[in-house]
Amino acid sequence: MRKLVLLGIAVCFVVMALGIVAFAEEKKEIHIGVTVPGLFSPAFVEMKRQGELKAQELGVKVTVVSAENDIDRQFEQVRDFIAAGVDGIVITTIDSHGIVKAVEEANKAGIPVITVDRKSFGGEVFYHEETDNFNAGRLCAVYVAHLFKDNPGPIEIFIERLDPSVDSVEDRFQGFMFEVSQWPNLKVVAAPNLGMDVGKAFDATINAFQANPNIKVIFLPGEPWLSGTVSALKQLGKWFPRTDPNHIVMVGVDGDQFAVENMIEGYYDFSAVQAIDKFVADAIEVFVQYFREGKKPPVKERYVPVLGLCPENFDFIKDRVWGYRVYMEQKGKQ
Amino acid sequence: MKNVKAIAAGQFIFLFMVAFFVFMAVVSPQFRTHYNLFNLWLDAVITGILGIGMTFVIITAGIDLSVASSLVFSAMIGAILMSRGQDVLLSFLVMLAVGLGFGLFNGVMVARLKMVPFIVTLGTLSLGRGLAMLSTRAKSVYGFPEIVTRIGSGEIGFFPIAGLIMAFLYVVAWYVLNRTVFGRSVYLVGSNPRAARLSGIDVERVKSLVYLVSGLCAAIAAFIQMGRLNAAKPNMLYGLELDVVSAVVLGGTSLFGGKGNILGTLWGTMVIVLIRNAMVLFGVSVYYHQVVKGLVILAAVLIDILRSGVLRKQ
Amino acid sequence: MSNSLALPEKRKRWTDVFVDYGIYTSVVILFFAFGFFFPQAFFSVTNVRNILASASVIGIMAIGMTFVILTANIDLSVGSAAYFAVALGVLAVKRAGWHPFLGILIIVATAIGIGALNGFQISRLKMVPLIATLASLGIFRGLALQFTDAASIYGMPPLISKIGIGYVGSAPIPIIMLFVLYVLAYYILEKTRFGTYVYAVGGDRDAAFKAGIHVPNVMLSVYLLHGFFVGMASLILCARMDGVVPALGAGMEFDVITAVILGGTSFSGGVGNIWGTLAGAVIITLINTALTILNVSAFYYDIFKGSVILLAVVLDTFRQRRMGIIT
Repeated sequence: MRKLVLLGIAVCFVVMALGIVAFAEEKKEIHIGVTVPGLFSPAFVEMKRQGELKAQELGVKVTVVSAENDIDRQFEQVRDFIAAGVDGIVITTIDSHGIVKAVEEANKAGIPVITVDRKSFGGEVFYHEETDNFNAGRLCAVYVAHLFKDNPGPIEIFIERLDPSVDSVEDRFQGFMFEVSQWPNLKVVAAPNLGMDVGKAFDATINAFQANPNIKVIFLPGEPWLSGTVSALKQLGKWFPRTDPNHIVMVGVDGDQFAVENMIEGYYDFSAVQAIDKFVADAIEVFVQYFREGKKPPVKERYVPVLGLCPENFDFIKDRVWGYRVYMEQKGKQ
Repeated sequence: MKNVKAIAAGQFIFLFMVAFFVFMAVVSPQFRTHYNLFNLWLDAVITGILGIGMTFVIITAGIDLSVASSLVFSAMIGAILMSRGQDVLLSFLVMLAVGLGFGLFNGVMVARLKMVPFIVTLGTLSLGRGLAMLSTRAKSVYGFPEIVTRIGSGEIGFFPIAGLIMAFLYVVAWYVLNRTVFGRSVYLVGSNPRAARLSGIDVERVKSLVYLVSGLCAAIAAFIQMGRLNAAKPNMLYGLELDVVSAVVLGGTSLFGGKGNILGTLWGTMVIVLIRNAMVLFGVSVYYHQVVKGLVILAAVLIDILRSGVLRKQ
Repeated sequence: MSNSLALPEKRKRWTDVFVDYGIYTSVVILFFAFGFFFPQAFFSVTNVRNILASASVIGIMAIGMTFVILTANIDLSVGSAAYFAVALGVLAVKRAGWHPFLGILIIVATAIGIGALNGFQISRLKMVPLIATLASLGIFRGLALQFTDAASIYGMPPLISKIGIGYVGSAPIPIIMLFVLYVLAYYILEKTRFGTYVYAVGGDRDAAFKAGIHVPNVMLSVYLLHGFFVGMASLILCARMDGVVPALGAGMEFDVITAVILGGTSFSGGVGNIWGTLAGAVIITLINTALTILNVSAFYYDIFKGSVILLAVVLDTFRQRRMGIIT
């Protein structure tokens, strides 16, 4: 008897933990599932937020989950969406090969799939949107070359190379390296792998400067690593504004609000802006048009160009930079 | 006496699993679909098979934190071989060898050199991951022969092949643990090593053999994992070892050794998978998944403690 | 007077000297070895300072962990506890606009609170430490992710960021904290009665109980103390990160445990000393630094780390064998 009581308590316990959240939601006609690689990046966070706003605007339900850079988990999430009976799935994949099976299963279940930021190398995809990561990295190198074009060098560069197994950031790194190889006065002296751990930026920067005190340029293939780098530079006493001859040039990819803030304050030099913020929102809009009006997207793939943001053209293009929009919104709140 | 208690613990988790299953089937129409139940079973396979090896190890009062890493490394080796056109069976045998290699290393360290299992397998965990990363310089390998995907995610009738394999392995494991001399010696080594030694059991050999079992299970699970995604990536399945330990403990096996129930591990695995499924179907925020999992583990442990009357003795 | 177990002296072999003082000599050897190849990176006051500052987070967390492992317990939740504590503090300061000093208090208090929770489960509810802290690991990381919606929040006020990057004279604050806390720990462990209880409970729980020591209270106090040190380390972490990120502290528990074991504390409890832990933390930092400077790819990093851990276990085993704990 006592066992049954304990059993009952245990079941109630778990049910309570689940039930409250579940039944509080109203049923909407369209449910879209979205999986993103991770929310450590302000770019993905903004992408999620814009997606949720768009869903609200159009009156559809969206569930955004983060796969924590684990392709197996992303696969499970796609499966979960199929099991939960969503109408459409949006995938920002971690691995273009690894996601194929998930896409195929969604195909089998008759659920359309939209991929953003990275393609799936297989399966049938309804629509695809991305920016060119390779050229984003390359643009950063072009700007650096431009800054130092009259300097015989060697100009020492420190790159916070992230994770070679994550295609998007690795492409940016390769793009940067490709361009750098064309300029004899530019030299990469340190490019440690930081994995996808944002916390490693601080120590990596300190160590890089320990080994190479004359670093003049820092390249961040992902701007989430900016904060730790800045703290490290401050501790090293190397945090100088652009106007100071000791200034260390910082360039990166993403265009998030922290990069924008630092550029306004005169410390950050160049950001290759990805318009990734609207990807999920666009995908949701495409789905809604299809489900409600039967309209298919005019093109099957869309490539959004990368914007190069720097102090020289800042005022000119700032309204097209999502990081600037987020920065202004947050400033307005304070 | 020990065995009666062990089975009783297993029964609790079994009842809980059944009750929860019935609850979900009644409440959620999406739960009842063949698609969902099929995938539920498939989801349990990797953790379940690793749980077999882990149960053996924990009954001897040890632990093996390296299971996920040795799985991933085996998978990478198998993947590389297959992508170079090697025969599937040969690749599988090599994978088994890798898994056994890990198991042997762990076993020797723990049993012969008398090192603390927690730290030793922590070291093998890092080594395994590092080797896996190194094997392909962090890139993924994809596209395996059809037989692999068929075993990993295919079906026979209504049942997933991998699920049937898991069930078969559990039957074998149950038989070994409960009906063979080896099985009984595993229990005795865990509960009373001195008595075991006096009974003529080679304690060191038993202790190292269980790690071999664990390594073997990791290799088998690796093969199935390859078929799941038709790809192998070195940085996948982080944290899986902790899920496996949780499943074993939920199933009634004591971390102090000597007490344990292989079927309990199966039910523990199913409970973990069921709860995750329920959270997904109910749309619970992803972050709460970890919280709920932790709470369930605590609840199960607490109930176990209450039932064993340890608190009353104070 | 030392509180470490006084066991009958065994015949000293060269391995004994290595085991006892090996950790300190290893630090020195490693330092000079790396310095030989990269003089500008290692042989300067600035660089030594940087290394110590980098070691501060793991080093301070390892203090509490030393106490915990000395009592034959463990705590797998330190990384998640740090994340949760920092998340609450950052949310209070940035979203609710509270005074930064309150933020500091919240971070430390939360860490102590989590220690209390773990300690309660382990000492009063008699849960196995591995499982109880494993559950905490998941619960607190999940809660923190939910509260922050997995956002990265940056921009801490100077009072907090100074902790991570500020100086007192020419010494970075983290280093000052490191030494002060280690001296404090040394005092508690070796010069107070509580310290003797810690060693006693770890060495032989039953004997300690029969000797009249209130074992559950000692264990609970150890976890509370441990929480305090986790809080201190979290402050530095928050300052360095200039806020909070979703991956904060992930996996940190393994580095901390390795540092403690490397430093001479035994998993079986009752044996160990606090300075060894400091040396262990420094070694781990030295290796990390060297790997970055050498531009070694992350692939080798895990292999290296695994090897270091195994080395730690080998040393621990020799130690235990000499102590007669195992034959």
